[in-house]
Amino acid sequence: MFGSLKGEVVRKATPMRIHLTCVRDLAWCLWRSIDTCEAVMTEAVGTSGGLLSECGLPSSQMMKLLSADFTTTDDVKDMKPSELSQATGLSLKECVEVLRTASNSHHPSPVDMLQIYQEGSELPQIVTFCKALDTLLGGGIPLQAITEVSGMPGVGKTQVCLQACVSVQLPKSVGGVGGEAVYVDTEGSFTVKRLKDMASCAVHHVGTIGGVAEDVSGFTIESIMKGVHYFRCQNCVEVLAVVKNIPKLMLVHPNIRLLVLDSVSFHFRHDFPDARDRAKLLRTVTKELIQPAVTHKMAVLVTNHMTTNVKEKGSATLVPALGETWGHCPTLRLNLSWCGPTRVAALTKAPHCQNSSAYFQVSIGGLRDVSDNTQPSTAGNLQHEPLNKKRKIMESNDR
Amino acid sequence: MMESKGSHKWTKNILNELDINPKIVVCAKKGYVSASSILGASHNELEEKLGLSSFHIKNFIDAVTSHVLPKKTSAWDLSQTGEGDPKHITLGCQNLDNFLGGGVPAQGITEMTGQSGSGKTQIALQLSLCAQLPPVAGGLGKGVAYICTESQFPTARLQQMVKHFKAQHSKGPASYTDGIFVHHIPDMDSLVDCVRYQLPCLLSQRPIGLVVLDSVASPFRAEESNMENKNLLYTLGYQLHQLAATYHIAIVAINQVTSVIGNNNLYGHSGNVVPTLGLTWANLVTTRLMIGRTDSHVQAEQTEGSRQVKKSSSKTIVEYNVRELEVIFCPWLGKKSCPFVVTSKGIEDVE
Repeated sequence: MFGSLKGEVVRKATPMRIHLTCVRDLAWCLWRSIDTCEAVMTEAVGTSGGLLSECGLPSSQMMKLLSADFTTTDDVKDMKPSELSQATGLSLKECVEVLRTASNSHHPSPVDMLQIYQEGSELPQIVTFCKALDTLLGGGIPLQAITEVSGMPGVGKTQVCLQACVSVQLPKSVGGVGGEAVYVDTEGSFTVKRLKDMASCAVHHVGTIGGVAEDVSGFTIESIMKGVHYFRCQNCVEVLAVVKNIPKLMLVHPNIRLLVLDSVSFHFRHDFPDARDRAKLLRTVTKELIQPAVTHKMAVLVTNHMTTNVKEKGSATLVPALGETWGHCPTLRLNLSWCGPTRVAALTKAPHCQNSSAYFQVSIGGLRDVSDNTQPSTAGNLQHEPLNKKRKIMESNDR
Repeated sequence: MMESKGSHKWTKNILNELDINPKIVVCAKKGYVSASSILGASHNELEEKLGLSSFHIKNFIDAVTSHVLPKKTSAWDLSQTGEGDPKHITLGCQNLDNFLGGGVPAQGITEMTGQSGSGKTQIALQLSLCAQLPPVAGGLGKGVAYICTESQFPTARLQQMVKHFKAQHSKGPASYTDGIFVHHIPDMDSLVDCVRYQLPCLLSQRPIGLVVLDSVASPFRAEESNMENKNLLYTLGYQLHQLAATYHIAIVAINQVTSVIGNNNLYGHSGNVVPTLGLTWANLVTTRLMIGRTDSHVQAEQTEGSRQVKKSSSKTIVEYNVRELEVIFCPWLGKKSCPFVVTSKGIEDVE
């Protein structure tokens, strides 16, 4: 395309060396205009893989790499550190770092809104086996989001978590997520017996609605119990370690789709030696919880205590603990309370539907609807979309 | 040895325990030596402060994470080893044990609350004896630490109960009273200190399976309910949980009730009394049991120990007030109630 110019470029610098120079340097080198040089560079950059110069390596290493003609990540991809070291003159340690950086760097291209919407609406949700609750949540506990469940002691927060651990493993052919769960227990309220009871009821239920045989036959009490990975954390640093370890855990168990933290507030409410430490650790935990949700398309379910918020005039209200440091983190906030002898779930923060509530009960088999069909008035809930998704789980899949 | 576990594990210097490049150790000594500071900082912050490459920082964080990470297990493994099953202490009464799924839960903190005179201390005394039974008989096979905060420990009543208990249960220790360590602690600061320092000492020296707090309410109710005292109460509960998990013991705490006007349905329990100490304490309780008197009575013959009562001899007919044990909340039990009576022998079922 640039004929004579190209000849000059070849003489003065190999096309690959062009990548490291900026346009101005090239123009100075070739005595041509900036526009021309920009065009040359654009043409020259057509290779696959990212540029090594954009990987953030120190310039001394870059010079040695370039003088040995390594300019893109593809060039170094399959090399061993010793080979690279021999070729470039870098030390072994530096080569390890170059290789590690080259393999890690990827430039995510921007995604348009339509793609995000399509992907999001295709994601299955974790049903709770209680129709009212599923409708309230817009189909179930959402993936790629953090859901907080708060409430008084004994109202059923741990039961919701246990139910989710079973429901996330429902086979895909019946409309479930078909994933595994990680349970981070801080209070010691995880009971294997309850999980077993819920699993047994779920297996029975799936057996009655059918689905693809190979998929459903693998859904047994044993498989459900094996699919719940359990960590007992005695302090907040252990909680942080478990959350930071999720990516490594995903390498061994790539099918994890639910992370349960029961509860986030237990370790953060007692006397810390330094109050600033506590705030900082809490901020780190909230940040770290977002990672599995977004990167690995997991549902993150977190339980929280209630605390009394005394206002100026002496009146007190019950609010979820940990205040605003934590409050902005969850996407969905569900509050459980009592209305007479019945349990009520109320949505206090949700991007997709207005605040409303649902009755539910806790039975041996897990969360269920209350026997009579009276429900508190719901306002403006999306009635259409959740029904479609719900139908998948209740009927056999004949697509 | 026990001190290295628990909260100190994450504030002490762990650099020398990690399997990492010594260059990282040298740099990290500048200010990132404890697990809490290392994991609490972001990747970028560490890179900036320590001046190491991304690769080294990632290795560093990975090493610390693996060091601190608790044991990974699955629900299946827990069910196979029996670790995941809640433990119980028998009450020596068939009906009550069946109702509670084996006995009083020995996981986390079990609270017994109710009006004065309802029978809470009686149950606590009964538990102190039952806990010393071997595991095959439903006990823990270990001693009891009994912390009294109100009145004197009821020694006479205990002696009376021991006499009957020995006759009924053959497998227990030779001396029940030797296995109960009583402390009298009237105020809240001393109570928290005891739980923080003296109890761990006692637990590491003697085989103790149960800690009874009779009662947790009185030291705190006497003080005003401000933020500082609430924090102290939370610290007490939190430390008790840590002890339970570290030494594998059961904690039974006795609480009082207060009458309430207005919305008293916070815990799904209707009635005109509510446990004291508020939400701060309620959030720390694993199992909440409410004990109360009912309006009904049963009649029974009062027998004296193991002496045979001949048909012709005069028997004393005694009327017992039927009490009720109700489950307010428990992670594995539904809400139900069960009657019992308090006799000279201790706690007994209603036939």
